[in-house]
Amino acid sequence: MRKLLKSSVCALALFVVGPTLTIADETCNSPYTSALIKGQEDFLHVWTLGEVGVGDESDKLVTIDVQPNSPTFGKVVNSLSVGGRGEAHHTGFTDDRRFLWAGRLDDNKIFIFDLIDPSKPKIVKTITDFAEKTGFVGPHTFYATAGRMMIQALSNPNSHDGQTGIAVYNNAGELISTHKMPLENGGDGYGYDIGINPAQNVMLTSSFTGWTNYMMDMGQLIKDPEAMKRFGTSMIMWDYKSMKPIKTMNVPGAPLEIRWSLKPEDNWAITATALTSKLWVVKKDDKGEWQAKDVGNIGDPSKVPLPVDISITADGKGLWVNTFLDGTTRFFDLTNLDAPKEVYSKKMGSQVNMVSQSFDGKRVYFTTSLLANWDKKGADNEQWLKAYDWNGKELVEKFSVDFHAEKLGRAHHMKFSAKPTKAAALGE
Amino acid sequence: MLLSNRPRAQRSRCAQDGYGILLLLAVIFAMATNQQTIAGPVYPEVGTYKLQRIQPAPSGWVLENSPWLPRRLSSYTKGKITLFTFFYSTCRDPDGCPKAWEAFQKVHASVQANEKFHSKVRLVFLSLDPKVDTPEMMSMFQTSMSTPEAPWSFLTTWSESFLAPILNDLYVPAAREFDDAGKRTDVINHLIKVFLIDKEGWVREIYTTRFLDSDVIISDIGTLLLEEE
Repeated sequence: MRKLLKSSVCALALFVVGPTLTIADETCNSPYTSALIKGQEDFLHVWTLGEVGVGDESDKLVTIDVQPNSPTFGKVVNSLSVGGRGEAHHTGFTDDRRFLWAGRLDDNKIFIFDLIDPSKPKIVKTITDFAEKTGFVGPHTFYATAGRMMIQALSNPNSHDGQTGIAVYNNAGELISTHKMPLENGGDGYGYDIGINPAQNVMLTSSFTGWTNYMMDMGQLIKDPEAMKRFGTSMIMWDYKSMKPIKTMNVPGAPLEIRWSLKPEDNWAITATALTSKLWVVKKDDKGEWQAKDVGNIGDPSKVPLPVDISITADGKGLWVNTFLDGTTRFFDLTNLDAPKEVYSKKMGSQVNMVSQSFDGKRVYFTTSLLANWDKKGADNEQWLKAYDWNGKELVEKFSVDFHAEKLGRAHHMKFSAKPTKAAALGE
Repeated sequence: MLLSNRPRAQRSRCAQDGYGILLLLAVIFAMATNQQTIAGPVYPEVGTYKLQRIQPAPSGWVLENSPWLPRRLSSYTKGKITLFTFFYSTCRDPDGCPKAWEAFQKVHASVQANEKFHSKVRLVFLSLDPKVDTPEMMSMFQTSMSTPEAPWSFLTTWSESFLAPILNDLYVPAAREFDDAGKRTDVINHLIKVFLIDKEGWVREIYTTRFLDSDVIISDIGTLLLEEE
């Protein structure tokens, strides 16, 4: 398999790599991700859950043309089914932005797609022994570091609760090391997202819930008080170099996505808590110690809007926050980081989960699916991708793709890609 | 030659600009030091952390000094701790090869100055442009930069077809740009990655342009040396 990955690097001649590494493009990528899209993205790849009664019912990587000058703008140009339904969830680029790793939370399969021709991704490797090799299940976050892919898992194969860890693979898809989430010094063992701040040599992790909960029907889950206790309440700051926890911070209510400010002089991160509907900021205090601070509500927490994905602007001054249950996106002004202010909101539909913006913040994309068993039922189970322009005051819809009408499934995680420009790989 | 000229030019400019600049630099240094204390990165002590085995260093054939004597790349990646990267002599991107040069120079100076590193650490540059960077050209760099205490090899290959498998093994994308007429230019876009390789030939750390800190590299070399002991 290692040979297969390598040979695909050799075989495809035309690609471009950026000679410089400055900052990632769409703002949620790892700082180690290179090959920037400096202008308009050409394609959007949507990691899509297969759905019973919808098309081939298989999980798939759906590619949509998002280049406004293209005759197929706003259309699905490729759909690559991977076989079966295993709770497709998140994806992440390798550091060279050549390969896209995509995971499934239930059967733990990890698919590595080659995007040398981004209009037609190809599977070059499938990792099928993640649980066996790592002792974890639910490969969630795929976070590139130099020559490696860090994978935050959600659970374990024994108790299926939230005790889990991080697995590190090399770019060939071979396991390098595993690191358990701490249970000491206030750690609860849960995992969810990873955010590295290389300038500070720190890695921040958040905490969600285990397999038993995330695979349970949401209606059943919220009626089970014992199950509702089994969510993460911590964020861990790690020494990235040594992969050792240095501080556990109490952040109740399942802190999810982590976004470090991309502004070079900033050294703070922000997250949203799903169950308590709050924004938390993590930064150093005057004594140089990392602290997590509750900086405000998202919507009305008493109505449990269920904050899910967030997307930070490149200047660190704005944040999109989706709330799943009311199907609303909200834009927060982060100018006063101690008291972010919601300055815009829009009802997107019956449900909304993921949000991704271009690096200039002018284009914002939304999808619907959270987890197969947590998505709404019946007519409220809308499944779409919607693309908007953001002019600083309002979202203006450019196009939408109905994932049910197109017989695709449940639309989840999004990543951008760009057409290769003219260059020849050395040796070709 | 490129590198041997640069320090002289820098010294010359400093001398012309006089003490005002030196004073300013001293102030900036003091501020930077102060900032580091309050908000800068905190790296673990040498030897208190483990560098994982990421992947084996690649195999292949390279040239040093002579076009007639091919050598195994492994003879430059085993037996000593090796800091390895790709470069090409006509690289003009300030965020590309020059940054690697700068980091390697600093590491080289540290190795040179620290007796415990002598005979245990080597530096290796491998050219991305074998047509221009001939063995003769590389030997000039080597003569200028390498010392017995801190050997610095400047390697090249017979052709890109010998180079490509090494690049692929290390997942370093590199491509030659075309001009508007569709003709190949002398610009090679590549991702700067610097590889720290242990004496068994395992890549133990990878540094990219944004995170190319010579102090961290020296610390990692020290950690590998302690591991050997």
